[in-house]
Amino acid sequence: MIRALVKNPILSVRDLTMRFGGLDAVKKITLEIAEDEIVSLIGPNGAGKTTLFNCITGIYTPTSGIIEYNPSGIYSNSDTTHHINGKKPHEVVGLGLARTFQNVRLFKELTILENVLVGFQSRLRMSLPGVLLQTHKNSLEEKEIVATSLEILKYFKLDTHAHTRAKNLPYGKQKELEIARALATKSKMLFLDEPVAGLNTQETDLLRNLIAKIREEFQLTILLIEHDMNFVMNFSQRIYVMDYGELIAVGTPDEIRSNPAVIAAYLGE
Amino acid sequence: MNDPNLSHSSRSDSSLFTKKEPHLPRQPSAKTLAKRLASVLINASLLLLPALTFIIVRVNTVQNTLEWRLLNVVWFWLLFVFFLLFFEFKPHMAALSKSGRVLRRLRGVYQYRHNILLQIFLIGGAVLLPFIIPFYYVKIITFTLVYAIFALGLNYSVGYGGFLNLGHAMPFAAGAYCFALLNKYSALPVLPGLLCGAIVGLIFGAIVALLTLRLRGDYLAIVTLALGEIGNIVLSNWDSFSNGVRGIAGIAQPKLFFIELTLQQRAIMLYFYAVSILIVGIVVSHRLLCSRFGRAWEAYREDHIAAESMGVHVSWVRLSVFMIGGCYAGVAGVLYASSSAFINPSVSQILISITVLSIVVLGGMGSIPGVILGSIIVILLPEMLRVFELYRMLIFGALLVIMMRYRTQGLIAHTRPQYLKRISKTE
Repeated sequence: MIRALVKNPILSVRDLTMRFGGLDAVKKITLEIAEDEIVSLIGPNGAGKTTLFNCITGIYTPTSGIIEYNPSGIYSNSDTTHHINGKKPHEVVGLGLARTFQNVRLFKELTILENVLVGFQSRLRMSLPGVLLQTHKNSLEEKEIVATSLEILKYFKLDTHAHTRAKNLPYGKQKELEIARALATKSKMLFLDEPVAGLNTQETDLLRNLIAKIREEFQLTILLIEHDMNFVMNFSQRIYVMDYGELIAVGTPDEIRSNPAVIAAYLGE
Repeated sequence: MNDPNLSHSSRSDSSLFTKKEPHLPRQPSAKTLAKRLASVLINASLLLLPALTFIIVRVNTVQNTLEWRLLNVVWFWLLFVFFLLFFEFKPHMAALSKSGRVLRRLRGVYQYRHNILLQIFLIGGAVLLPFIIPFYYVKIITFTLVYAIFALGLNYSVGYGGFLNLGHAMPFAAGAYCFALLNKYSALPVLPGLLCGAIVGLIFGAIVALLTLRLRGDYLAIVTLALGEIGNIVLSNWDSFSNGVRGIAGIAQPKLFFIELTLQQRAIMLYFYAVSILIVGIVVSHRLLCSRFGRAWEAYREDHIAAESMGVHVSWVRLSVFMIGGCYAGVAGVLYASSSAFINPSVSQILISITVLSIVVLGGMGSIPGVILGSIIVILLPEMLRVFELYRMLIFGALLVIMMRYRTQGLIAHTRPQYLKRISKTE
């Protein structure tokens, strides 16, 4: 079993197993991420990467294993550690872990601005009477989130078209809008599921720079799934490799590149 | 298009990212202009349908014949065309006037004043209406308004939440029976009755939501249908509670501060109740839609998994749309019971649910003016044209088929709230 532990992780996944009927989609995975890291999760199709994502973000309840999250470090203070397994997605995002989806899942009929505004959902405190009476407090909060949304959209050059419906955006922009929506949750961790899939080389480079920039600005820790090896090797600090639901290698991009198990998984024996 | 990042934008709309100015409409091509013009003309003709009743056709109830006043068709059609042109091309007119080419003087009117003017016109009309039309029509319009409130309630689950709800008659019947029984046994007046109806409707909405918490799509439709039918069967058979199929008669109508009113005055009073509740209903609906609640509902409708991952509490979404919708239905039920002074289990029939659903679908799911137009067409029109009673269902069916083929978004499509405008208005 491969265990590569970082010093003081903020997210720790231990012995996570997800079983669908007789199939172990994820088998005893152990994964740790420290603050401000960019970690990639790679592996051939059907290796269980997205299943692992779905377990962490609450869409699936894992069969066994532990997922812990603590923004100040798992080992520093156990009182503030959150146990994520069994939590619902809206609770997980409330803790500060936001995600994007492999096949873009935007709110198509809603405008760009509204898509981002939905991201604030777990942070808003306006009450029903406040909304009905349009209290001052309520309109202030509303005004603030619209302003913040426009600021976020500015990074993606989407702010000038805030009232365009999301379905009318080109594919690449839709992927960016998904990231913008995830940023609106004010999360500390971002889970990107194939952020550059379907983009050409130039677009990939631009998106990489953009993600690097927002990571600086928002001080994000990123875990991403990607098939674009060029992107993964240049962008991530550490890489986890999965195959058939199991972890087969962990290490820096250079270590992974020369790892025989990884080469075997990708190219065959 | 020098920016390589945007090279893929040609796939959908190449002009999307080249413009600097926000919210300005593109210069429309002749074809799109013609299309929009055609849609204006068609819509104006559709608007003529409700106008048929007062203006064009008059029923002579003594001889049971129709009087046609065809010249009015032309006048009113022109009026509607003008109004719709006004709305359809408003942004273009504003844009044109902004660039200083045409209509600069009219800019203010087109941009801001039309809303206030329209509101004054509508409210003034609503206040004057019962005093200038015959008593019989006041009753029918009240009936239409009750259905508009009812349909606004269904609009929460069908339009905003995307839940196909076929059991909306249940909270309606619950509100109606609640008021009828309380009135029968403890002489409850209409105003507190409305409150009771709202609460009972809320509870029944919550019951429907809780029983269907895990269902979606067609399965949800089937279960809500069954729940509505259970309500009907209970009301028809539980003799000691609801007086069975014989129903409850002699339900109170409103008074004015303990002063007894005549039949006509009571009808006018109820009309005003219905109008004011409808206005409150519209305002509440609009405000909720533009808040975090409405955004959560619509996000859920668009993609429930993504919505949940963005922090939307999905069970709560379902509970809230059904409860608020039930509240509207309960209030509508009380008004219905009071205005017809008699109810029987037919208020919980499947036909009621289907009628109110077709109001929402015909008018435009999620669109508030659409729902009101829908209730005018579905309720007011058949009541006015009793002469064509035999063909009512035929025309309805044909209308729905035509809608599904040519205008799936409904007569008045749901438009997105303009957050930037709302925000800048408050500054």
